[in-house]
Amino acid sequence: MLPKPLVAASFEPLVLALLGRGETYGYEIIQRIQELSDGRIVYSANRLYPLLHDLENRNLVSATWHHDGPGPGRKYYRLTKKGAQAMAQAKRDWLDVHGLLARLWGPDVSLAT
Amino acid sequence: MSEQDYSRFDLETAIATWRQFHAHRRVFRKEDLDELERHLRDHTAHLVARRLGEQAAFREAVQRLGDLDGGEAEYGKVYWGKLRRRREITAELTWRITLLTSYFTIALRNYKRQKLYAFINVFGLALGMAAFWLILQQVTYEWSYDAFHVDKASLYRVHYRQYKEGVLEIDNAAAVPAVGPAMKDNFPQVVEYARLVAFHPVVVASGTRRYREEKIRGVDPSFLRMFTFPLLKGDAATALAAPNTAVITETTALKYFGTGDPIGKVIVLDGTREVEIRGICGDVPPTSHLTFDFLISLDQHKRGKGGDDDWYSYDFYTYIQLAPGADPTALQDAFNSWVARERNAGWEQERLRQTFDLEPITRLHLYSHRMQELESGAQGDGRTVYFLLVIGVLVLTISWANYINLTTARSTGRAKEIGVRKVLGAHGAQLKGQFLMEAALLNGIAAAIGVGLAWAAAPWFERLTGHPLHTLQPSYGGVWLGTILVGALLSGSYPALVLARLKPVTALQGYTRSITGGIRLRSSLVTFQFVISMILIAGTFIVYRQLAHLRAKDLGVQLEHMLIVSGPGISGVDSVYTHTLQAFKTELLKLGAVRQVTVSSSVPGREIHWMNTITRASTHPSGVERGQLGDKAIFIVGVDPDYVPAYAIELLAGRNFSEAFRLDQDALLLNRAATRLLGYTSPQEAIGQRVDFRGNDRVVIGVVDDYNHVSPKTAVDPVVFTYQPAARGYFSAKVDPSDVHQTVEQVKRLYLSFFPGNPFDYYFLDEAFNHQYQADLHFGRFFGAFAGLAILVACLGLFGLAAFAAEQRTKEIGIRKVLGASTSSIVGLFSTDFLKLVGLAFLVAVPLAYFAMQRWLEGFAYRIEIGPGVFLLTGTLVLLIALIPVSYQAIRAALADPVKSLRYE
Repeated sequence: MLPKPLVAASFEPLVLALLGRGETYGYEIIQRIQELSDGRIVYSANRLYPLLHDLENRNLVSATWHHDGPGPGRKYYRLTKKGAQAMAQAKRDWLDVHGLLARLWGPDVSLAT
Repeated sequence: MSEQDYSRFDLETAIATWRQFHAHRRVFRKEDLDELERHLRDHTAHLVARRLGEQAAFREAVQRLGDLDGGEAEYGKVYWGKLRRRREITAELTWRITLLTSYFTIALRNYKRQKLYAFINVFGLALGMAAFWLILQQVTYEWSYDAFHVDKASLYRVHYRQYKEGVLEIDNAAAVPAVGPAMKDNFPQVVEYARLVAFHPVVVASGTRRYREEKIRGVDPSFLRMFTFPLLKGDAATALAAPNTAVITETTALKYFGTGDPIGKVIVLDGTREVEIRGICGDVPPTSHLTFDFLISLDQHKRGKGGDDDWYSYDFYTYIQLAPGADPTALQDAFNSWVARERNAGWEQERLRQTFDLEPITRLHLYSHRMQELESGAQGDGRTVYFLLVIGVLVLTISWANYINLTTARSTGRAKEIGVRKVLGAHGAQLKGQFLMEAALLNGIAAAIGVGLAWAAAPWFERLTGHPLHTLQPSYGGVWLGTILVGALLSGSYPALVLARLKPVTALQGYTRSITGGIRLRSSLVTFQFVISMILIAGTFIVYRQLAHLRAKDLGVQLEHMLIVSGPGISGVDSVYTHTLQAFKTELLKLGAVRQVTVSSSVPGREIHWMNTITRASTHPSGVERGQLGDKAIFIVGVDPDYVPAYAIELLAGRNFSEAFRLDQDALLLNRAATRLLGYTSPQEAIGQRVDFRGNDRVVIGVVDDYNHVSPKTAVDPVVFTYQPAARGYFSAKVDPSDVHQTVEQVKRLYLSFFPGNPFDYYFLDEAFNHQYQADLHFGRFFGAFAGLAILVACLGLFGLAAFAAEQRTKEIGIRKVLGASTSSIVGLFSTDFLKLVGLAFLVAVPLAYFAMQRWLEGFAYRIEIGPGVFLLTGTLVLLIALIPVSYQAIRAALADPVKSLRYE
């Protein structure tokens, strides 16, 4: 498992990034992130859904219900235009941090530049 | 639904149960639960596909959902956003208001069912709140002194200290005239100074109107710039710039000029000095330590005595204004070092040292108790104000304690209600809301009644404190609201927490002893209430006994039937005056009703402002010589030969002044304190000794016993009496008490004929002297009133608790009675429990009261010793008072018919 602060900080960008690859629903998000991170990041439902609802409140995602099978339907989330912009911004920010770390840890990069 | 087989797991039933469990939580909306249910189903199906049993899969899935109770908070965070998105906020608010209304209704129903408790609760709280608000207004009033000056934060008064041979001799509110200019010229952080001189009473005349005026002040022109006394007429910049110009207050203008325009008019001071009025200012606010009716311009840039280079005349009240951000302590230190350098030569000569302290003007009213305070008599006392505030807070706390007590005690009655509501799905927060709502409602009702009580009690309270009350100002609305909210939270949260935590099963069983901690809490609250009540009651006794002690103290001087008439301000030259005075005295004594007449520069009860230095002049066999003892500061009273006999002051040695001795103008009388000051071992030893007084050679002819010249609260100062048969201060006439009114009329007629142009001002000395106890008397009454209030509120609580205990023990008492217990034994059994608490309270209260009152007594030079008697009296009194509510309930319980109380077993 990754340290908690890191999980928390990357929570929203990761969810946005996943949604950027297409419409999906809560259970699938948890499963996909778990697979993609080799089990190092596991979200619990009681954190994920409030985040999704918050993104919805902020108009970064929109949701539709699909009904199939027994019980209630599935709620699918999709990035809105505004959500895509937010994801792009998150991407720039993360890559900045990533780039900086890479430079600091890189073997032959001069800090003077 | 048909019969269910509980042994077999059914996924649909499990999901339905899970869903129902969370359904009542408001943060989970229906679609949230739909989404979570779908999640649960997906996860379960996924796990089943991995060959897990359905039951195990479901359990695992539920677990992996995470802790939904903790998740409630997360859902709560996005809740309002969802409502906004869905435009459901109005509906939500309506729902919440409905909930509040239902809390409200339930609360009202509860009160209706328990009228007595509701009454005790509300009434106790209302009393506490009313008392607290009244006190708070009084306290804020005292704290608001001099806060009306716009520049209050940068204004300071300079105080003067004079050390003679290292001993602090003078600690004066007024400084010397040179200080203000010296500060401003040498220290850039002092931007302005203004000096003020309090004139001796002066007769002011304008045309035919003449009055003796006491509040005349000479001030620098900068006075009107520094202080916020705006002019209604005239120009503040120039009004006092020229010599012999004046600014008067609105009321004074009305007194002398009616509706006419006073600007440009001339008034005459003591028949000699003409002053032109250049400005009218509003009346001085009551919260000002500076009081005046007239401001007269001081001579600017004068030299010599009273001038800018005079470092000795310490009757110039000096105020300075500092630049923004200047540090007063640093300035004070820097200035004192500067003075030490500059004045060193002068000091060597006089063998003295001078220091100057800065005090913010907003502290003067409460914390500056020096010689020659401008407010003398009307000054507040910071300690007393804190005492009052503490009393107010204590009374309020007592009433809150009452509420907690009664509510938790009554909670047994509510246990079933809580159980039923919990079973029906109410959760902790809702129940807490209910109890807080009840507390808020009750506090609100109490506050409304409290406002009424405070309003009704305001006139009485004004008499109690002796100060006008600026009652019920809207600005106190915030304080009221604060009291209600804090009260509701404090008094409501404990019952709310305890009751909301109650498990439904215990509650429905009809819980009796599940909150033993509650009993302990209630006992300590009752003890706390009684501790406070006892401290206040013991305090009251001590205050009254101290005052009785002061009044019974032999002052060493007889004040009864002494008519004091202010001496004439307008009179001829000294020789003419002496002649007139003799004739006047003779005429007075002819009246018959006047037994004795004396003139003096001061009379008992008046602070002596006249001081000078004295030292021993003659060589004494013991080898003490002039110089070794040095100059001492001493208070001076000028008297005629009749002063000592008229006031019945005891002569310890030597003789009184006498007209028979022509040389008595070179003679002095000392009081006993003065002989000690000069190092004489006995009064006899001082007789015939020569002293150097104000640079003149004088002989001591008599020593009188110490008497309290200023006030019995302070120690006796050393006083020298000089022979001054034509003193102009006061005439004292010992009159026959039979027809005082007529005598005053006769004296007045004589006075006006002998001293035309002078107003006749008189008072009776014993009344005026007793006036000095006024503040302490008010304090005592105040203490007493609030002690009474505290014990009343505490007893209300005790009454409620005893009633509750009686109800709880109905069956026990019934059984005891059936088994043959007598009424008295039951009453005894019942009362001991409560009286034990009173006993405990007594043990706690005694040391606390002792130390608190000891501190209060330290303010008196003559004080009583606090003995055990006061505490025994307090203990007995409180015990008797506490017995009333307890035994009432006990007897009622003991007399109840056991058949009735045992019927429902």
